[in-house]
Amino acid sequence: MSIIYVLAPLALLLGLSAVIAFLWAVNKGQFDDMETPANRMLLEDEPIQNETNNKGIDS
Amino acid sequence: MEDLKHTHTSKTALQCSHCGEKVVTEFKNHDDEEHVFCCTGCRAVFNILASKGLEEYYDMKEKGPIFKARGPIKENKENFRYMDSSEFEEEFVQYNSETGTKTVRFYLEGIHCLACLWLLEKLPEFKKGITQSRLEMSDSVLSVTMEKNVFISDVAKEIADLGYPPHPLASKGDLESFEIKENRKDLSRIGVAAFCSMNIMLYAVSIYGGAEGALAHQFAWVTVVLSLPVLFYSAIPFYKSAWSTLKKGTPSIDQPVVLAILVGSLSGVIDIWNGKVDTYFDSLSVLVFLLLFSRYILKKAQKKGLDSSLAGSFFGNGLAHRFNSDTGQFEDIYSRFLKVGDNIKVMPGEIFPADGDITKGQTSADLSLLSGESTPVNMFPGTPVFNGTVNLGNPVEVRVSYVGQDSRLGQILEKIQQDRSEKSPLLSTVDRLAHQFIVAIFIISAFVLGINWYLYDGAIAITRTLSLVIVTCPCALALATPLALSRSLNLAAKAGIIIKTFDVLERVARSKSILFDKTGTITYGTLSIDGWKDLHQGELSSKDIIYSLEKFSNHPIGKSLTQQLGDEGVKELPVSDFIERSGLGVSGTINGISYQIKKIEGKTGSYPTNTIGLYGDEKLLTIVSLKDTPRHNAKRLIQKLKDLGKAAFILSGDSKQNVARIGSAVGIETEKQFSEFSPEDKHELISQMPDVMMVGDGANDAMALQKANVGVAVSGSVEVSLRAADVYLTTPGLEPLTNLVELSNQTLKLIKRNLVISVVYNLLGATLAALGYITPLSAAILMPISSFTVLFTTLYGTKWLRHFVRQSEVTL
Repeated sequence: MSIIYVLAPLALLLGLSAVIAFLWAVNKGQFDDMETPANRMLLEDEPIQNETNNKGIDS
Repeated sequence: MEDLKHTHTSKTALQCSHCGEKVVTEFKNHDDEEHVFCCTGCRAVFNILASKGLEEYYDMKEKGPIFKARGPIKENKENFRYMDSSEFEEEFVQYNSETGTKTVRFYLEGIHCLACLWLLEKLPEFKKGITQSRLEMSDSVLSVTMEKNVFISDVAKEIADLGYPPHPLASKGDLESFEIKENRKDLSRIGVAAFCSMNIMLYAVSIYGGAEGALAHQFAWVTVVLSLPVLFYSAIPFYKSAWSTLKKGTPSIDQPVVLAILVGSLSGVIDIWNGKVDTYFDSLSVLVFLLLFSRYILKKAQKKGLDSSLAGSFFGNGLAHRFNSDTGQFEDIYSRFLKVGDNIKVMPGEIFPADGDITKGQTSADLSLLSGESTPVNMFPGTPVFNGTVNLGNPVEVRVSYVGQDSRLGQILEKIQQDRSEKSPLLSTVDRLAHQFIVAIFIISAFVLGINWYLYDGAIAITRTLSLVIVTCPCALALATPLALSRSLNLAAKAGIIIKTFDVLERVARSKSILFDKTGTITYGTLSIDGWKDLHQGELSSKDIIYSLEKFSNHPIGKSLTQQLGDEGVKELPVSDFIERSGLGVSGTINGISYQIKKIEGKTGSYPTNTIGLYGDEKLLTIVSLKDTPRHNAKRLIQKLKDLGKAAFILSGDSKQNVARIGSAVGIETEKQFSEFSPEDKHELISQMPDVMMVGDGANDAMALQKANVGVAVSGSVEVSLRAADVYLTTPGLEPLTNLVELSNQTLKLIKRNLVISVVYNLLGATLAALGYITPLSAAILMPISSFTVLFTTLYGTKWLRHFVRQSEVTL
């Protein structure tokens, strides 16, 4: 059972490093805007076709 | 948004190709039958997108999520030249000397879906000189970086042409950075609580699972150590709010939470010290985590509503033409830089940027913003003009006498701000119940403590009382209520109802009467044909002539005429030599005859106001009289509101005759009609009526909107009333209003249902605890189960809510 004295602190350390990473990300502003980046990644990077398309122009 | 029970009541089920709104009058392009638009604004934006090869916008819009519903778009006519002045650049533009670029931040109106993001971030691809464009969707803020020599006005015009009216923002203010810091702090607290509570659980479970001896004791100490960050860092907001409410003597949900935390952790430490391993640290830290998390979600949902109130702060700011005595010319500046004594010129269609007196020129102005009257008022040299009203006629010169805060509009805004801060927060049902709950828990605890002490001994009595306090901690109240509220706020936003604070829902459900403003709320706010009299029958139909001529007009009367005649299916005739002169109507030549349409003054005969005549070669051919008409579904929706238990009133600044006409048309009884009310009168009336909802749109309603228990600004409202209102309906008509009332009722019902569940649950828990059946293990299991039960019922919602969710997915 003594292995638990190694494993338990190790597990805690692992968790702690995740918290530190999270706090770092929060303070770096990674969570300031939760909406835009989540949607931005869905968009195509392809440039728009710049052919002058005059269809549907009124007057 | 369609009304829930009556879908497709109108004869046409056409949707606008741009905004998706139901089309009342069809607007099309000449050579394109496929696309239909609800207004010229939407058509203009469609055409701009098509010419730039940006049609992908529509695919995107169809596929992507929609965050807020929005109505039709106004066509952009501004050129934003004032953004090029040096004064403007100094305040609003940031330079980067390294890259040789400059950055401006705009607040954009009308950001609502994924396609908006796509379109605006493509700016650098179709507008030369822009190097970067970034949109923050949650705040509707766009930062544009461009090369130094690019005119900011060009960029602003480009954005406005796409249908997003831009308002410049000064570089990041204190308020904004404060908000960011708060948000980061909240997230950090949640993160720490999550980590600690999960790890505590790990050790607590092994204790429950049968760990014994030294190991169990060590594990118990680990849970104590791990709960320290939760107790001394994550839970700080609870201590603060419990303390501040305690000082004020008001009950709050945080008080029992803090009590449970304090008692639980203190006794836990004492227990472990004495060699026992039964502790509550796992339950406590999970509780803190869940509460922090649900509050964070509520805060986020509420912030969406608050953003739209930001728009109000731009009101009355815009273009001004100021006379420069050095150059002898009028130059374009941002109206915020105007000073008392400046001479300015105001062009037709522009908003008066300050209060002042006309020095040169005659015109007519739309004062509806301040007076609520839809009829234009004639103005001469010496007549005072007011900031925010619209010049309809000719260019006039004005000497500025009051600017910004000192103008009449500025004072209304200030009054609103003042009232807002004085408005006492409503003691919500939940708070009242929490209060009763706390008192009940205290009484029962004292009882349990006494009985057990008498029957057994002190140690057993304390343990049982503690389990009672912890098990009955009103988790469901504290957790389920914010979730139910935030979900309803999000649902409302999707349906085009922007609610500023969550307590509005309860106030709506509680209100007994609804006061409606007339112009623009019950009515369309535009003039429509009331009477038509042909004096001489010519070769051509008078309707065709008027339609063909007014088609080119920018005047509101012309626009509403074309809209209505278009409905009747008139022919369009070729017009040459078209001229529009402000105040003198329009003229043009059809088939060699010169026609003119203008206002008839004086001999109007039986027609009261707003009468126009068609002249052919100087001869009067046709007389048309116009009036404002009620919205097509106003009567039905007002009936529906009555069915929901709200009394409907009409409250207007207009004449008694007009109010009576509209009132009877929509089914509001004569004794519930108030006419010829000034903004001050409205304010006075409302302050005497308890539990009242006010629905309005103009600045003349703003004070009333603020004073009312719930102020609702309808779509197309002027920004000043948006600032005063608690709710803003982004889609036109009164349908969203009935949805709002229903949604509020249902949300309250849901909250009450949760309360019942949690009371039953707690009674059961309390009984078991008092009898000594609750051990830390069963407390650890029962607490989350109660939380999940209320969570589930909240998300499952009521029948109406499920229907509403489906409905909004279908119609949007």
